[in-house]
Amino acid sequence: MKDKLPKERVGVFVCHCGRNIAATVDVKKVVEAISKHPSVVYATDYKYMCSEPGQALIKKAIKEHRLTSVVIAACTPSMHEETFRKVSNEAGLNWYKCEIANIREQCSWVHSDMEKATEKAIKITFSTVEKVIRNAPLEPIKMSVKRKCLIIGGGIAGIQAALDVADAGYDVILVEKLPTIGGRMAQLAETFPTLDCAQCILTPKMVAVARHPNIRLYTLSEVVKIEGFVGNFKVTIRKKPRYVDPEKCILCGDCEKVCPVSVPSEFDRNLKERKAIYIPFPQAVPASYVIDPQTCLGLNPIICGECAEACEANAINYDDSEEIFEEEVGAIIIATGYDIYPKENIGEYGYGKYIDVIDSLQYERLVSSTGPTGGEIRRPSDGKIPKSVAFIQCVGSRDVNHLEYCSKICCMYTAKHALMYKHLVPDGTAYVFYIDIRAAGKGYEEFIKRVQEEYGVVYIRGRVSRIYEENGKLILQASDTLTGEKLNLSVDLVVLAMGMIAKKGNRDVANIAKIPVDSWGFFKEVHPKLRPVETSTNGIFVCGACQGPKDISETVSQASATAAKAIELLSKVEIYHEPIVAEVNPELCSGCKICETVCPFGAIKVVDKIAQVNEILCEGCGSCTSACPTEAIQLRNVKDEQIYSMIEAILR
Amino acid sequence: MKKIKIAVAPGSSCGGCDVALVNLNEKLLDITNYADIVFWPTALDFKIEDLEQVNEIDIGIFVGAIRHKDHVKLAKLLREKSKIIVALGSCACYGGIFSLANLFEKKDLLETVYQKTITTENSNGKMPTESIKMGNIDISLPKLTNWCLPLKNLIDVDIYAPGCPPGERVLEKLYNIIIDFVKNGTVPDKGIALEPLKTLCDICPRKKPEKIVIRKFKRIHEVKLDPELCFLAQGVICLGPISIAGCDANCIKANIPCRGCLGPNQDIHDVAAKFISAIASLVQIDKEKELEEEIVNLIEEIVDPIGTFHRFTFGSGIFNKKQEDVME
Repeated sequence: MKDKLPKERVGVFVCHCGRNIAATVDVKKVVEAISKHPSVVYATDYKYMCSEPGQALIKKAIKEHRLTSVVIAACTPSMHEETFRKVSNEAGLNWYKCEIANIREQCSWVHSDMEKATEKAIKITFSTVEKVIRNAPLEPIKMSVKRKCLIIGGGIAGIQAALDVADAGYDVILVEKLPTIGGRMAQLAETFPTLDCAQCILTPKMVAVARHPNIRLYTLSEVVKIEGFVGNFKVTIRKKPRYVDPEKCILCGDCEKVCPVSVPSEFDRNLKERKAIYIPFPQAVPASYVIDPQTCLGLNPIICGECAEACEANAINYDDSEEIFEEEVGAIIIATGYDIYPKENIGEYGYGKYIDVIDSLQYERLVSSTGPTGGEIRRPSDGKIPKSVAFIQCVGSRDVNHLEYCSKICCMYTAKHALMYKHLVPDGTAYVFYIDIRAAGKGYEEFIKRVQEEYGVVYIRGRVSRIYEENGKLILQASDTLTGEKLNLSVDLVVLAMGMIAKKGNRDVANIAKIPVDSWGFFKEVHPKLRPVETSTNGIFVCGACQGPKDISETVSQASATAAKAIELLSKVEIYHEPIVAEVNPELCSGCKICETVCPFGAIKVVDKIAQVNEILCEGCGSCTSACPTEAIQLRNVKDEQIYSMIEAILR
Repeated sequence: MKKIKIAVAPGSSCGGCDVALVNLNEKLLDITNYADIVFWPTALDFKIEDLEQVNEIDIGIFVGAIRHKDHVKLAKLLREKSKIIVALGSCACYGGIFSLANLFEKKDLLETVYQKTITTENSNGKMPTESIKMGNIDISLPKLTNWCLPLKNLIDVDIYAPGCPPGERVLEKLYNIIIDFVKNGTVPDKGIALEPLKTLCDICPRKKPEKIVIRKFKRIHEVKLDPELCFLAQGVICLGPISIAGCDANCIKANIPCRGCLGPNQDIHDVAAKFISAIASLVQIDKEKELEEEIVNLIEEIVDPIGTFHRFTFGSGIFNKKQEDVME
């Protein structure tokens, strides 16, 4: 590359990172080699560059040697880039004239041969010097913030996040697809390991949401479009008609009594019926009936107008219609929850064939005091109290043919299920089939022990290979892998601990919000350890089981974490956007529209055959720069000439 | 006003570029008012010795790619004597169609041509030799270079006038450069003889949809082409986005996608790699996440990717790293 460069004075600081780097990379040799680079005027090494004395050393060198750029050869930029940029900025350098050469994660940690690792570290450092001398000094882009937060999903995660953000004094819009908030937790009977009644601890929070002056709740609603960028999102919401005015509905239930249509209740996992006009459960929020337009006899008073006639409060309005409206928000929290793996996929367990093979959520309803049997455990086929129950763990989970991952919560809830069974049927026998018991959590292991020892639940290590019915009993074929015995177990009821899966709708939300999902459809965080609730789109956060399997306590902690992140954002007077954005050379651009097509953030528009970049929308991903056929669009400080010179430095 | 001297030297060429020069018609006569054409073997009977005898040339035009040792000799001689060197046509500029031969080694090329094609009858397996003695006369053929190369790999080039053959816009600019040089003594800037240096999309009359999404790659006989819609949006590979707009979009207007004969408007490392990167980005872009594997399969359906994306530029692509030995 024959680019003309201003005279640069580069300082290189090589970190030992204790022995993390120094054990595999000869740092002295790196210093010696990099000193020969024509632009490098100062190079040194230090045990911990990120420590106070290390930082002081960098500052001192910048001033003493009048450095114009610095390269820190140390750990990954996601660890300390900010630290070192701050340090060099304090010493008078532009934020972007400091670059990190990652010689730890990309070198010392993955190699063992010292000579070769040192050679590689030298190349990485050389290449970073080539980049930094071509870096332009840049200033961050300033923007204002809309002080409002959108939360998608009204389960426990969305509820907690909404309350936290609203309590901090910011407006919240909570959007829930179903007629009520509460989510999966509202379906649960009790929670492990404390055996708190799920509804008893959840409903106060639901009520708090309904009453909070800062929270606007939209049920039966979906987010259909998200435009804009961090601090300034424009969100389009579609609200489906409820046909019942929640302000007027007094929950008398007269409508339900006269409704002629009965359908299986989704909330009760089809174990009970509901009417076409219904309330999902008594504590639903908003506290109002709703008409299911799919099953209602046409919403037409000529065909059937029973409910409207019966409603003394005049709350029913068959002419209610869909609304589409826009909201402007500064931050978005996604908390769309999870589904359980479809039992239909596991044919060997006879689901669909034997109605006494039920899934874990059906069981929750069955033992819930608000459930179809009023908290008595009765099997679906004949309503008898089962004298023996088999609980099968890892159904779908940890299975290469189904879900390769561990669903994390099933060991615990199965233990809870078994315990609840023993509470309800003390003389009954409970069997649990497991692969391993994973009870990592406060009080979890103790809980399992209690279930095994105090309640005498029989734990059998082994998988069930087949279930079939014989004389009203379910026969399980299994093997006990501890004794090596083959088992033929006859029970009254089988409960399958289904794995947790991402909601199908996650992919749609991902497309709308332009955030990535993993191969299972769970939303992807930026960093699993250090940025667990942030997504690759600034200002959009994720919490709860939509990000990966987790239990209620983890979900609630994560929800509060997203709230803290959102509050941090909303409380800022001004926010700054990274200036590492795409830039168009109008002399080369011919308006082919390839960049506009590939931009995942909608940041590029071709106007009069020249591409224009909205700097605030641009996240600097580089999709456009690699797609542009004429190299007319370049990412600031990651220009092609920089990349080529970096490659050349490595190949040298 | 003193007349200048122009020489036109041929490399490996089909002759089309010379025809393009002749097609300047009256302008060619106009040029002869200002210039003497001292060497143009394709038009008149010149030998290399004639060039050797000329002292100084103002504008040396080289047509065609470098394929054998005589081309090397001619190109070097032309550079030595000329103030300004023009690479005329895409072969001289980028290696052209001839340079697709670089996909094979020299030995394979000769074997294919002299022994392996179905229509070849050569039962003794005879191969051409470089020289033969007939009586007292030595007859020799110029030795093939190992690779077929663009002019710039051999000598310093001042002006690039690409095209297969160069079209009106490029030739007009070249004509202006020559006239300006004669009249005002202006030495042109190095680079491509065209301004502004936009690609075909800039002058393309076709409409582009909001997003250009390729669902499936189609060849022109497989689709009823909408004459008003961007080819790429119809799944037809068009090199317009990466090719210089030096042609008045003649192919496009005839409902034929651009094949990229004018090459890129920037010194790009590898035209094919760059354009594959561009075009692959458009394949099912809105369904990228769901269709990962399918997208790979779709891209693999492209027939003859090197011939498609490097039809005129293979000789100046990234493969030229292995061609350095021509300097021997």
